[in-house]
Amino acid sequence: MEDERKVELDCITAIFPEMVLDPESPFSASIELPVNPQTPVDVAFTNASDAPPTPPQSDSSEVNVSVELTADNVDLQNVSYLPSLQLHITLPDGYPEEQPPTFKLSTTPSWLSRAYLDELESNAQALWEEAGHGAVVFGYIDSLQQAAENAFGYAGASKILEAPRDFKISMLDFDIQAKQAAFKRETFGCGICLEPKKGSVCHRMLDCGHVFCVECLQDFYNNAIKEGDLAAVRCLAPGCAKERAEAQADGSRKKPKTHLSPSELLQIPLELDTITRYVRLKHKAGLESDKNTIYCPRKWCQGAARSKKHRKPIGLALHDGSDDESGLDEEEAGTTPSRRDLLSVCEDCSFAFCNRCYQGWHGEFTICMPKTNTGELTEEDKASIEYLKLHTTPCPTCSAPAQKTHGCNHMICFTCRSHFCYLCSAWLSPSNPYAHFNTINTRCYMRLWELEHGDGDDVGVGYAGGVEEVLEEGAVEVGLEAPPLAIEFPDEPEIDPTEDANAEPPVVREALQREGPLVLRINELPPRPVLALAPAPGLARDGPGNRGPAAQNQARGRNGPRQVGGQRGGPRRRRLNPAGRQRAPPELDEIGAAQQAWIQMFVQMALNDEEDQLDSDGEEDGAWEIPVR
Amino acid sequence: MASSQKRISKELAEVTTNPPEGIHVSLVDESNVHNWNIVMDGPEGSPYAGGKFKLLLVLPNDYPFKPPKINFKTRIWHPNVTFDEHGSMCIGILKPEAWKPSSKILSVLTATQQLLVEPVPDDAVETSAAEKFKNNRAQFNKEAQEYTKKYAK
Repeated sequence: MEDERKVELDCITAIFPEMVLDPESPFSASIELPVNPQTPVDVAFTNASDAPPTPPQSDSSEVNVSVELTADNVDLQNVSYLPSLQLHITLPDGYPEEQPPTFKLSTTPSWLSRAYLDELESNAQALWEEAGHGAVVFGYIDSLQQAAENAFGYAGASKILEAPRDFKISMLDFDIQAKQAAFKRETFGCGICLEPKKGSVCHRMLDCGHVFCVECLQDFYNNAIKEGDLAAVRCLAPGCAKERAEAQADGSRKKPKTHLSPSELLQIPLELDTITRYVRLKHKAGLESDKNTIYCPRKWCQGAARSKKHRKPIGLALHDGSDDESGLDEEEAGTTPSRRDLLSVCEDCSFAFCNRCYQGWHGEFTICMPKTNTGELTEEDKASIEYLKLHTTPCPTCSAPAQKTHGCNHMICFTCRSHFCYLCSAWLSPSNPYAHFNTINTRCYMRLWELEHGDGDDVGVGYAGGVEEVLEEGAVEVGLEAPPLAIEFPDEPEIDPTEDANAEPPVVREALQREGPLVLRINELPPRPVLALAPAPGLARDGPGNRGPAAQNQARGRNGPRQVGGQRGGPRRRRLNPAGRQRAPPELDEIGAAQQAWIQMFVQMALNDEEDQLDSDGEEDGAWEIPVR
Repeated sequence: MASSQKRISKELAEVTTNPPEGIHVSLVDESNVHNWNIVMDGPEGSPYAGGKFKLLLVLPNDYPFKPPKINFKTRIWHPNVTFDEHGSMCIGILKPEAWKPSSKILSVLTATQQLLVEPVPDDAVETSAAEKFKNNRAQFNKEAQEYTKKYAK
């Protein structure tokens, strides 16, 4: 007859495949019992490593816990997985009839006290007695598992498990590993590809816990970083981080954390090169959105001067590392701080220069004059600046030039997130940006949709860059380093990044922040009223020159953009003053009265809901292509 | 992007097998999943009730990384939709900075539907409609109904 012990062990092994039989002795086995309580356990790591952990059942525990927790050396952590319980089983000769089984329990590290483990071990005897000297191994394991479900009484908020600080790393590490293993086993529906994915190919966002598949995240973030759209590098769940982002828009200087850290990108994982680029772009964006940034006067360098606010990233660490700003000339004490502030050191080439006269550092006692920027520019630079003046609008906050590729004229700056008007560069309130376009008697009234198809070479009109004298030196500098790029329309001209010898090509490929509600053209016109209302003869509805009514028409009628561009572009460009800033077209003033009359009529018609008719006949008979004069 | 097609097909299947109330979706061209015809019933209780509004939804090639574009093909008198043949519309979810790749077309459609029920006059693109909506609601409703009768049959 087969040994009862063998039968029992075989049976147990069938139930718990993880059971390991001892090859040395036939009736010994060991099993690891995971401690995964249903509710997480608060673990207090104390410095009192000499005091053994106290089991909750023992009488002194309550007292101990309350006393220890008042001490400020307590480090409270919430743990979901505790290191597993090792059970070693030995079935002696005479088991089950005459001898009870021997169970040995242990944990690594020993977060459960020896006293408590002894108590658990001795339970086996009682169990064996209760079972009338029968087979009790399964029953015992089961009782341990049940006890583990509530972490031996520690689960929930009622009790706090104490453990010496020495165990902290290994216990937390175990917790993290176990969580990861559990995560990998789970299945998630990726919100981007809408496919069910195993946790092993997914990433859980560190800040908010949303889960996406690694493939989609890689695709999206790689693309965003490639385009320079740093703001998109955030959690991809709808509405997530929205509140945080809104708080940011409310003008609080402190940036709430909505963006992913480089280390998280590394975890996803993205390519190191991509993350390096992300870090570099972030740093650059920080520099560019800061008007106080000083740039190196060396033409071949043009790096930023070291500043405490925007530290040059070291490796992947943003705003980290010790800066050795104090390394130069710091021993010369006793001078006024203002003079000393003139010293700038380039973070790229370490050139020390005076930020007033932009010469090499001349010491604190030289009186110098601010540099007048007559600077000889190359033809290419001039062309770039000219293009920037004509076809970009600087952000009112940080002067970073933006070029619209399509959409309405409500823009959000791609570097500093300011809301502004593309036409006049006015700052707009993030809470109600459209008021600017809906206020009568302002320059941009009813012009939200003007230039809907983007600014570019085929649009002859310089907008804010020309209308306002907003392009200052800083903006030009920024512009030279990062010419805005039209990404939507291939026929729009781009500034070849390589033509600017000073710019770093990968950095240059900053994508333009595209803005506004996207719109789309519908070719099929819905039935419209045929009522033809000829415009009053006095109201010049001229095409190419007049930005007022024509633009208004365009904004409302929006006929073919390229056509409009052609119309406006040709003659307009010839009128440009190549060196000067683009001013409002001269005709604008001359026909001001007619224009005003037209607007009045338009408003009147709008009030009567007839402006539509004005529109339709305008498009259909080409009335507004009548030349100005 | 192959995943784009797959995702769009999934969303299309979802919307066609279990269409949201008052919204009917079909492809403009069966061989191209990027262009959708939407027919939206004017929501009850709004001045658009009884009308059937056609919309065109265009999904860019890099959808869902970039938001879809949606326009009214049927004229509609509404503060947030331009009253012209383009029917351009301003809804928050479609702004590039608000769009998240895990946002779905369904939510775009329901947001559009919601916009019919509750115009947002402060974000208006059709200013005269917004003015009327704010200052003379009865007149606005009357006109919206008339236009609905006229165009959205």
